[in-house]
Parts: sequence; C-alpha cells; structure tokens
Amino acid sequence: MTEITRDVLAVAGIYLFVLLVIGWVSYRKALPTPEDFFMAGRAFGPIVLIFAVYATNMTAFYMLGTPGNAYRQGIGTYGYIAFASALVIPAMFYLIGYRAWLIGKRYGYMTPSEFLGARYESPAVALVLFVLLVVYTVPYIVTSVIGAGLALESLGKIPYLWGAAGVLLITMLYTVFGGMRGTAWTSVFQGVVFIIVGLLAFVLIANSLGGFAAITQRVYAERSELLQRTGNFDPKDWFSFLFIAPLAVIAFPHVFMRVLTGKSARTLKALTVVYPLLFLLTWPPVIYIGLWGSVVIPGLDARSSDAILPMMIARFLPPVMLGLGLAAIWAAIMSTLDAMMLTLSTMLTRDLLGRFFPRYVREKGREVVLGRLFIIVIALLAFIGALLRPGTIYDIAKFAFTGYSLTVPAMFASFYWKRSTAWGILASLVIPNLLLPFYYFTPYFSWSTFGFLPVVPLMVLAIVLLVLVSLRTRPPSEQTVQRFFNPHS
Amino acid sequence: MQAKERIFVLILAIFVALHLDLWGWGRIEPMLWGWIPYHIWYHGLLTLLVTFCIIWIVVWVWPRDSSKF
Repeated sequence: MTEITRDVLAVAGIYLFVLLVIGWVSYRKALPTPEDFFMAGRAFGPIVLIFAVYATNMTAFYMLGTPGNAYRQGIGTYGYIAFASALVIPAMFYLIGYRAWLIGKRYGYMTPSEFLGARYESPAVALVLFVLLVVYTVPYIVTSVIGAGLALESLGKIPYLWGAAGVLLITMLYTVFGGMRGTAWTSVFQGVVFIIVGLLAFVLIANSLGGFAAITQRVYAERSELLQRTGNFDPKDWFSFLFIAPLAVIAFPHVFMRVLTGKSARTLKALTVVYPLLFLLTWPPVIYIGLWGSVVIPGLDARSSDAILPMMIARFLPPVMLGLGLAAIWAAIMSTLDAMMLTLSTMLTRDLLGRFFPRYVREKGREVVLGRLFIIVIALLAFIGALLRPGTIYDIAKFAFTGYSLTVPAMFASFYWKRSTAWGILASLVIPNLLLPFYYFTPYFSWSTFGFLPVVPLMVLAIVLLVLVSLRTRPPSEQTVQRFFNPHS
Repeated sequence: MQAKERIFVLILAIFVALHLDLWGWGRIEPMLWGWIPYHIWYHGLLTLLVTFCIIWIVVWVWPRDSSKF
C-alpha cells in the first residue's frame, strides 16, 4: 500500500466513521414503531428535508455519470440534465408532492403503491406499481454500488470490488440501525461534504490548470465543439429528456417517501424554493471538471470516462484532496443508496408481505424487524449486481428513469382526475412498461419514436390508455374519491 | 386544477420553450470572463428565473391553509 493510498483511506475512513456515529445516535433516538423507523415520525424540518431529498436525488449519476457525459458531449450537459431538473422537479413537488404529503399525513400512507392501491380500491394496482418500482429501483441501486467501486479504484488504487463491498456494508449498517432518521441525518452530513468538496475541487483543479479562463480557452482551441450543443445533442433527444430524469424524480419511491416526511407545508415550500438554486450551485463544477478532462486526459471510451472526476482529482490535486474527493463521491452515492435500500425494504415489508400476511407482519413489532432484514438482503443482491457490472452508469440510469417516468401519468391522474379508474391505471402502467424493453434492447419499435427518445411515444401511449380505458370503466366509490380530493372533509 | 395552477402549468410550458433554445445551439460566444460560454450563462439565467417563478407559486398559489390543495 502506497503512502498516498494510506492518506486517501484515512480521510475516507474518518468520513465513514462519522456516518456510523450518526447512524448510532439516530438508533438511540428511535421509537420501535414502523412510523418512526420508515418515516421518522414525519417530523423533519426544512434543513433536514432539503438535504434528505437533494442528497438522495444526487447519486453516482451526478458525481460520475454527469462529468462523464460532459467529457463526451460537452457543456450542454447542464441544460440537458440540470436545468431540466431545476424546472420540472420543484414543479412536481408542488403539483404531486404536496397533495401526497397532505393525504399521507392524514391516512398514514407511506409508499406509492399504498397510495394508488387505496385511491383505486385495487390490490392489483398496488401490486403492479410495486413490481414496476422494484424492477427500476434494483438497477438504480446497482449503479450506485458500481460508482462507489469505480471511485475507490480511481482514487485509492484499490480493486473495484473492495470499494463496492465497503460502501455497501457501511450504508447497510447505518440504514439498518437508523432507519429513515439515520438516512436523513447522514444525508445532511453527506450533502454538506459533496457540495463543499465539489466546489473546492472545481476551484483547485482550475487553479492547477492555469485558471478558469486558461483551461476553458484551451478547450475552446482544441475541442470547441464541446462548448456548444450542435453535434453533441439532438433537439428531439433534448426535448425528450425532460420526460426522463426530471419527471422521474417524483416517481422515485425513495424521493416520494422522503417528501412525505416533512413536518409542515412550510417545510415543503422551503424545499421547493431552494431546489433550483441547488442545481445552479452544484452542477456547473462537476460539468466543468468533465469538460476540462476532455483535453487534459483525452481518448477515454464511454465506460472509462465515467471515472473522469476521480481521475482529475487524482492527477491534479494534493493527496489530502484525494481522500476528500473520494468522501464526496461516496457521499453523493451513499445518500441515495441508503434511501433506496430503506424504501425498497419498506415496500417489500408493507406492499408485499403486509398485503399477503398482514397479521403476521403487524404482530410483535415484526414490521421493523422485517424491514431491517430486507435491507440486508437488498445489500447482498446489489453486491451481486455490482459483480456483473452491466453497461455504463449513464445507460443503466436512463433505462430506469424512463420506467419511473411512465408511472407519473398514473400518479397525476390519481390526484387530479376523479373519473380515472383502476383499469385505466393498470392499462397505463402495464402496457407501456411491457413495451419499454423492446424499445431499449430491440430495433422493432424504433420507427415509432420519430426521432424522440422512447419515453415520448410510451408516455403518449400511457396517457391515451389511461383516458380511454378509464372512460369505459367504473371509477372508485365517491367516498374513496373524496378521501383523496377533500382529505379534511 | 385551479385557475392559478393552470397559469403555473402555462408558465412551465414557456420555460420549456425557452429551454429548447433552438436559436442558440451553435453559439459559444459571448464567453463571459473567458470561461462561461453562452449555454451556461443562458441556462443559469433561466434557472434564476425559474426560482423567482417558484417563489411566486409558493407565495401566491400554494394554499396558506395547509389542510387544502
């Protein structure tokens, strides 16, 4: 082990130790109830909620996939992903999140499947949504673990699997003990770490490359095509992407559940206002680092370029920054990983076991115990996924995001269209999601995209099916509809 | 959906049109301070405008009574 590797591991070790301490403290504060373990009593104030949601939203995709994308496709990555997210995500917090929060607080719902199942008086709707969310969350968890392994390999010269296993183990421990409170408190710490280190790395790397203007002018001279969008992005793809990453966020079960943990409407309002500014503060630094990487470390292929951020830190910053850089990348990754593991365990406990064995699950405090066991099982499965390492982080995320987005019309209808029915929701969920793999992995349906990403025709299909089938079938009882449209009546 | 919410959705659509920015796809200049190309300052400015819009939503559209939609 080299001296640099020891320094990197020492700093990263301190970071991991702090996480375990926070997890332990939150465990000591916990009550042995499902509402406390899975939702932290729905009592988070603005600071914890903002970091819990934002840090959860930022993952391997942000710290590794985004600089990698800037390396390959240039500066337009900001508008393509960050601005689109700054626009759509807060709007969804208001249009869907607030209503879900209000109803969830009133009736005790936790997961998206519980909401839709109750709204349409349909176990089938709940089960289908549960299956879809599990199918899309598992690959998303795998991208996080891959990112953690890649970061340690690039910065610490430690084999990929050690990083993946270490991050999974620590995340699993503080999630098992701390539950929602532990994952949210650690998110505050992790958010502060990756925001500050990201800004620091941005300034220090620019400095070591001769300053912001000097290195950007070098990109202008050698790779000017990366400073514009023509040739790097397609307008139809650009438009389509609005319906993928940004729209998908409110359908992420781990984000949806966290929005429900806000203490008051004021907390949600604070989250909504601050969100676009956080994108403006945190995305340009990682995009610029990827862009500069295209001229100082040229020639990387798509998969290798996912590691451009750690490569730049390793090459241009002093050893202490390597450890901080690794901590920042892990912070972004783990803050999502913990939320996804907790959410998936909540869904498996409540939406699956709770539905088929309700008495067994609710007796003797088993709900929390089962939730903890599921977290351990999910961690093991995620490790197996990381061993297989399928595709680039960017590609895996894009497929999962499209799937999440296709559940949004159903969520929207449940809050805004009284006439929508269980059959309409089932049609809009099942058929487009069955077609999705054919769009991504076969050429059979490419004619129907008209140059847009598959999400566009599939979204249109989901909406059309929802409307047509709903108009031909019977809506839920008036009493149920009123529970969702007038929850305090 | 209330009238104010419909206005909000309309404003969102305008932002989407501005985000498409088809007239600026090939532009790099003007490059602010030598390192902020057109795309970044244009979309950075749009991000600030979105923030002001969200503040408007929170103050004027979002119900003050947190038991209502």
